[in-house]
Amino acid sequence: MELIRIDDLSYSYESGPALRAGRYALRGVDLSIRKGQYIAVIGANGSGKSTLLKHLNGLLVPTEGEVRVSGMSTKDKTLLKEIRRTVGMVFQNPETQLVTTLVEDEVAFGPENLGLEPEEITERVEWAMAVTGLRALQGRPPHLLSTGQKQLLTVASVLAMRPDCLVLDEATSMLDPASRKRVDDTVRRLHNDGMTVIASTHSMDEAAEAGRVIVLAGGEVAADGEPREIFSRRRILRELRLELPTTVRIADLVKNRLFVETERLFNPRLLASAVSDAYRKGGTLR
Amino acid sequence: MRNHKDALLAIEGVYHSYLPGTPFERRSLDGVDLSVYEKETVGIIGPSGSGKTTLLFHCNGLLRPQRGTVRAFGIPIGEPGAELRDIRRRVGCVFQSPEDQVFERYVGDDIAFGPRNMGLAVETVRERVRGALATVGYPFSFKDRLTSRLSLGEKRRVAIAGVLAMDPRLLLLDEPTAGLDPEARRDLFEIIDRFKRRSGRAVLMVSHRMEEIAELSDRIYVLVRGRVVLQGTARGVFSRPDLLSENGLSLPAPAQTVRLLQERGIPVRSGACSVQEAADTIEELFRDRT
Repeated sequence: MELIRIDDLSYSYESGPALRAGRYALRGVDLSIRKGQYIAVIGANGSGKSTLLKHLNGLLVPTEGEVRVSGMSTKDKTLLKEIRRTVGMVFQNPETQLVTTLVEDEVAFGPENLGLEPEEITERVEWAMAVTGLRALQGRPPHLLSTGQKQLLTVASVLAMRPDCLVLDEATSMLDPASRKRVDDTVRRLHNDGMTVIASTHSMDEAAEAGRVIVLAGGEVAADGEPREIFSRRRILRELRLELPTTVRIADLVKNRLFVETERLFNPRLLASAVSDAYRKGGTLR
Repeated sequence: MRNHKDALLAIEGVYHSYLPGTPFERRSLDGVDLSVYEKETVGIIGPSGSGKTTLLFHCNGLLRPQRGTVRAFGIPIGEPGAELRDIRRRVGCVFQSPEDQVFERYVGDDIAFGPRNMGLAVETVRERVRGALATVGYPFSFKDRLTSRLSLGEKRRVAIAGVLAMDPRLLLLDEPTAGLDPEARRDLFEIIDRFKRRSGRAVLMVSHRMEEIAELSDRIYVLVRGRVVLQGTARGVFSRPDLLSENGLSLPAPAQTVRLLQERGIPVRSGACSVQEAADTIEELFRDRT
């Protein structure tokens, strides 16, 4: 089932056609995102990643073209509330997203604004705090948390809105490995339960773990496919100055020793098993 | 063994609590010793909330040690009469999202802000701006660019140039590459490496990216709950996967691959930190067998 449909989306931060001329942050983007997909959006700085993601819940409205979330056009202001309940956003810097003085108030902030019953609010807060593992931080003031804890808190407050789709704009790039892993694991678990996830990242190692990778360049979709497909298109990646996953780069250096296409070896587990297979089989074929 | 007295930065037994004497009191540093010598890059890794940023704040006097001593260039920070101004001229800080601090209309003015405040002559300021731009890989003409039109990567380089224009001896970096694309990241690696090679200079860096810490650091300190639990060369530190994972730290992908091979009973050497080292390790494996 299609959750988000993007038709011929162009966007310019400038206003007026004269100013816009040649200054588009996004240009003719067509995408269809099905429910339950896990999508990584990659691209160099300034390629349009954040601009695209901000269109997914109506934070930005297309200059041209249309974005529909569950059939609702983001151009229709009366639908924005519903759209934002469907698509929750987490940004790179949690500081910009925290407003209250107590951790649990932060998580309750969204549901309270939805005008829900107190029991429902309590239940959602409990659930969101449990999913993100933040129970231990109850009663703490958000501004005294570490960056990783703050980011988990923004995830929790977005989850308390019970969205169908989670959009993460480089949400883990400021986090330490353990916090990153906790956010990743949390998101992965939610995805396994049916949540649609769209995450932008600069890390190819992270993108490799998604089901679908969308590559943006100069505001346009330069490639779109499964990680393996994307990583096999080395020339495009090189032209776009994007990096292959770390283990693919290692594999490329020892490819004469291996029996499989190196672009398949996009995480340590896969590379280690390819190397040990080759070692056990003995000798080299190529 | 290097003489402790030669350290550009020497931290000894530093303790720090946030909100001491309140119900929210939380110990952040619990007796930390750390030193940085010239021509080296020292990396600090540790889980979230381990005190890394608090420790950096002690290195240029943003925080004073509640106990213990911090000496930068022989000046004891936090003691009465210490010239913090001298320390801050020699210790340049690039903290998280430094591009947020770029505020002038033109790149040149932004970079000149620090040197002008130091009361340097116009010509000297100009030379400082020229030099700083060159270090971050831009021609002098870049000074006339509008800061509002820069990409994130460009802005971050300008912010770093602004710090370099103060001619610091010790560069403190907190998550310098967060949010940068691979190309901008590689450029920044080069800038950092070039800086530390000059005499009397050094870099102290905090990062969550094990790959970049492994690649850039000559020595690494692992900080956990305000204590140094491990220190040594990158190879040494990343040869201790158990200790790292116990503390919620991961291995860089190359070291992780090697570790997984060992778990499968393949006889490979531990601790590869970079792509090239991992490839060499795998090559050795096949070469040794034949």
